[in-house]
Amino acid sequence: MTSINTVYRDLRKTIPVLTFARKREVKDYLKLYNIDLATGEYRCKICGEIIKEENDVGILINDGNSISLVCNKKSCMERANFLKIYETL
Amino acid sequence: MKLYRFLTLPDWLRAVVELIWNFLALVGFGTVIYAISKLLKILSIFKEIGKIEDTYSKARNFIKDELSDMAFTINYLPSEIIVEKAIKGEKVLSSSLRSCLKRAVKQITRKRYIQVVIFGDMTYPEQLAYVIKKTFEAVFPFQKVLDLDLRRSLVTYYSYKFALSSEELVGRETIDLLEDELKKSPHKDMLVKLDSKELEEAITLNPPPEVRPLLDRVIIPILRLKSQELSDVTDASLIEMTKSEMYNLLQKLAERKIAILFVGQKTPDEYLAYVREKINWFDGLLICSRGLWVKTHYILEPELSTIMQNIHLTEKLATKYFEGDLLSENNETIHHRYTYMYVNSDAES
Repeated sequence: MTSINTVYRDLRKTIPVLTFARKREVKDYLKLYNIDLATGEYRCKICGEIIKEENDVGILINDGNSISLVCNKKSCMERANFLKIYETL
Repeated sequence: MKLYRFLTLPDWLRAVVELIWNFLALVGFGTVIYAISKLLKILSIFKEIGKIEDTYSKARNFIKDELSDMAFTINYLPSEIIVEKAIKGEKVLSSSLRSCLKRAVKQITRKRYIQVVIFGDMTYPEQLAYVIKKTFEAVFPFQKVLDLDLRRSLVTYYSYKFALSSEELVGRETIDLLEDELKKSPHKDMLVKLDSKELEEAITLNPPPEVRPLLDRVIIPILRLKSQELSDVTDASLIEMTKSEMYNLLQKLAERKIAILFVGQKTPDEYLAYVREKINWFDGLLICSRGLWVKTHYILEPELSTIMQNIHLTEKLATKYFEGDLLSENNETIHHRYTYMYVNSDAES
């Protein structure tokens, strides 16, 4: 079992690198990270719905190994917290 | 020093050299001015981006210093954040140089980065407010004990409180944004009352060891205990019932219907005297203790129950317990016990 101290130690090592971008920049970032929404592979990390449109992307998370998306529904944007996003990765 | 003056040159050549010399001097001056303005621009970008990072650090410190019963939660939060890009008006505040330098330094300490891109046309004060609210959201994991509106209000209230205490850093516009949001909250008045020292003085039966608002001192630990208790519960009816119970408790405290007794180093007889003196003015009693004083709490409880029962002879009394170990900032466990005795109006009807 992972001890609480291990969790703390790992957390102290995690640093969120934040980028505030405009909605119109979604396309550029998707291109930058080679994300093709048309494949239907990307689901919202919070509600689980497939994200098909660029306009539906609210948050993009890249932990170095994988890329996750959160849709821009108000409820999902509220529930997604960049400080605790590690819990969902 | 114009060295060409020492050379023997024909007048026309001297004039040409002087012209070139003056031109070069002008270009040099322009370059210096341009470099300075670029440097100032870079510094201003560093400052604006750094402000968002500092806001997070300061909010973390605020939790540690002001919200002592939640101070342990900062152990669950990242020690810092890096802001790579922000937006201010039409300007994009971005510095890859700064970000690279910061990452390089952190790489030595083997930090792990998670790149988070947030899309939304937020203004600069909205970005600051976003970071503040997300920090407080992360330390109040009360999803199973408070309804959504109350949870939002609690987060906005603490965010506003923090922003007010850091006006120089976050700026007036960020405070106004949070204030506007708080004004719209249906629970604003209740939270303001619970956070006032006047309420604490009015409903506390014994002189407390320190005057500190109930919100931080009693309510947050109770919410934490209840959250811990329900952490594995998935029964929706139990969760909704708890939310309603917690709301009623908070509302009655804010309405001054419940008295509070802090059990500490005095003798049980002294506490009983405090209760007998003032309890007639209230509908309920909340007994609070932690650490060593929980033992005295256990001794007092049956006596206090009898006192309450004698006052409310014709009514049905109910008792609820909130008890358990809570982590302190240093990861030490402290035992807490809260006993809530109240007139059960449902039983009467």
